[in-house]
Amino acid sequence: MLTLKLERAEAKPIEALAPAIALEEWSPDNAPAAHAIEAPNDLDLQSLDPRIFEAPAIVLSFPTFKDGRAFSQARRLREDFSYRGELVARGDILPDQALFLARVGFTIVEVKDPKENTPALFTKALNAFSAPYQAASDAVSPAARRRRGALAA
Amino acid sequence: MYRYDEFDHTFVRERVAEFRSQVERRLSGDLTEDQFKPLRLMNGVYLQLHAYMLRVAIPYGTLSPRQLHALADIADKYDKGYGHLTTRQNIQFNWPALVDIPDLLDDLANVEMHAIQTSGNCIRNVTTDQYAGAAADEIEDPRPWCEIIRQWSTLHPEFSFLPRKFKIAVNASESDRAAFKFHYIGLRLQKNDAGKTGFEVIVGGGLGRTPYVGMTIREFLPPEHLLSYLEAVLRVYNERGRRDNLYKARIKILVNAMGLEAFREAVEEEWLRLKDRAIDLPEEERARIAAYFSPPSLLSKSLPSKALSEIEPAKEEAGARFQQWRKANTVAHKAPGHRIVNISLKPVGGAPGDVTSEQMRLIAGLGEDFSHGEVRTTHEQNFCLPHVHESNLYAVYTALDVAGLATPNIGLASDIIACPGLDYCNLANTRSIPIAQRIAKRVAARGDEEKIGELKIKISGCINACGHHHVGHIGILGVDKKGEEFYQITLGGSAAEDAAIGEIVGRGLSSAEVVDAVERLIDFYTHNKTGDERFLDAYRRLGADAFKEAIYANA
Repeated sequence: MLTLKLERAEAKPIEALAPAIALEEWSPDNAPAAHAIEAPNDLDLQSLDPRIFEAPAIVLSFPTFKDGRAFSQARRLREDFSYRGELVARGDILPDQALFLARVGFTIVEVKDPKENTPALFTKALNAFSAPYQAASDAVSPAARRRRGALAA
Repeated sequence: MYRYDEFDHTFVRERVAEFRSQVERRLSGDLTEDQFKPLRLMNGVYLQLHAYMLRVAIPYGTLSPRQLHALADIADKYDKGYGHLTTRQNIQFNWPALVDIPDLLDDLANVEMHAIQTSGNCIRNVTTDQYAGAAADEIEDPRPWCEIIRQWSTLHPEFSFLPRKFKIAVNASESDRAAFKFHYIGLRLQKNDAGKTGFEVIVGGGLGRTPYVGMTIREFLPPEHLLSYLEAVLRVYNERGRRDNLYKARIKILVNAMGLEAFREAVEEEWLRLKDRAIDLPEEERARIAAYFSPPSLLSKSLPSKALSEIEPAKEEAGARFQQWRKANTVAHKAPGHRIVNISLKPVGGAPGDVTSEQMRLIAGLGEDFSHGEVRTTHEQNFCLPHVHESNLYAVYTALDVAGLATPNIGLASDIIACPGLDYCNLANTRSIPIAQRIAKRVAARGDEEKIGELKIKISGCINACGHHHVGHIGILGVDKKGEEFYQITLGGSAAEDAAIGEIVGRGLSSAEVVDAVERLIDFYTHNKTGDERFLDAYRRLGADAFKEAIYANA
């Protein structure tokens, strides 16, 4: 297993994360600031105790790479709850999804089979497109804003 | 029509480069077929019965002559010299080799085209009325909104791994030529009492195994909020849509399971959070896109040298055939003196929707010379020239006729929608194309197709309903019974503004019986219709039992 930090243009190997605690083990008393929390991908984030969002990392899950629920959860965490900690993608993930992951707010990916899915492939996917059409949770300007810039220039 | 700027050009090139490297990884074995599958599907590449199939996007059915020429070249270079129009205004090539597809996509990019999201569990090519910008009953041209949706949905980071595919259609007329009530989201442009233009939003429509007519989730959406509202619907679907069962994964199942009210509440709650988050386009970007669709200045095109009366053919017979074609295949244009010309890809005995490269080049030329540089594809698997001056009609007709493209049957019994069926598709249970061919031949032999009038026959070779049989006036569904092909008839469906799902009548019929059954239905209708009553209206008046009896009386 390999842990990658997704930067704007590079997927860099980092040390493995400390084990996360499952949501049901979390309580306000067991030092939220110290633990990463793992949430299932069918969790209704609205129902959570807001103190959970003080956790340094939240781990979201991809039971298969085709199951895209965590993409919505990540955007919700970033945009509805202004979550600023690390967002970790765990499970069955293809390097070809790296840009989608970064755009909805993931900062870390755990790679199960680093021999096939190398950091280089993740980095390549992060750089596949100069710019996106639509706005998302990242700070990258979408097409409309770039075009306005071009018109003004 | 829309033209790519530097941003669009770069984006499409980068997409091809990405896919080229994915194909290399597949060919070298670094990607398994299971891993490659969603990647290739999102680039329009299917694995069919005999070969790979590539579905090329024709966004909202609008093509320039240059683009159609490029499609003809692609048909010659990578396929067997033909293409196939689909029921979502796209074109398919049935025989490209996987290793060639990146080059093919580069050829498409040269003419501002792509195959992005023509398949896969993502937002598909948005479709609309093929008469957009030309229809007399239109509120406004829907295509700028289609282009806005196309750009927003392209590689959307949140909505590219949905529970299932997602289809959006936009309609802007009183008539419905886009079947928008059978889309996952149907958008109808309308004016409210205050005279402001906005969208009626319909959700949960769809065909497939479980057909539903979509339901109105919002009566009036201010158009400037279109994208944030779409995001709200898609987010509710992405989070709550079923993923445990492929057949229950589409939004129609979710809407019906939650109930329309609960679904609406969830969407509205989501939208309140999203609507002010810079998802919607700034007005200047909307205006930039809309400017590409300003109507052609119809008078600026120099009128042809001869008036229609002068070139009226000498032979009476040829004149009568022209008039028949004009009546069946052309419709009123919003500008006086012009007609919208439909080009039938349903010659008697042909495969519905197939078009050769030579025919594509001819249509491209006619679009250039006589239709202000515009060609359209229709969801009924035909082409259309939207802006033809009356005085050019005969010239257009003659050229089409020589190429076998002037069959006067638009909207008539032989203008059949059929899926590729067992001849190509690995999902099909039965063949569809041969049934369509035999029905068309039977109708032609009767010689009364014009008199029968509007009759929509739609054929699907399996329950997935790609041939839209649920919404045929006469629908035909192929089912496999112990290795034998059987066909189930449905009656009374409609994909138009009077949307309805057809009712199943009686037992399945063999492929020999089904053609006779269609003829008996036609006979029963012609004997019992009153005045100008259409088949569908006669069915609604007389009821299923009467028509059912007609099918099985002597069978």
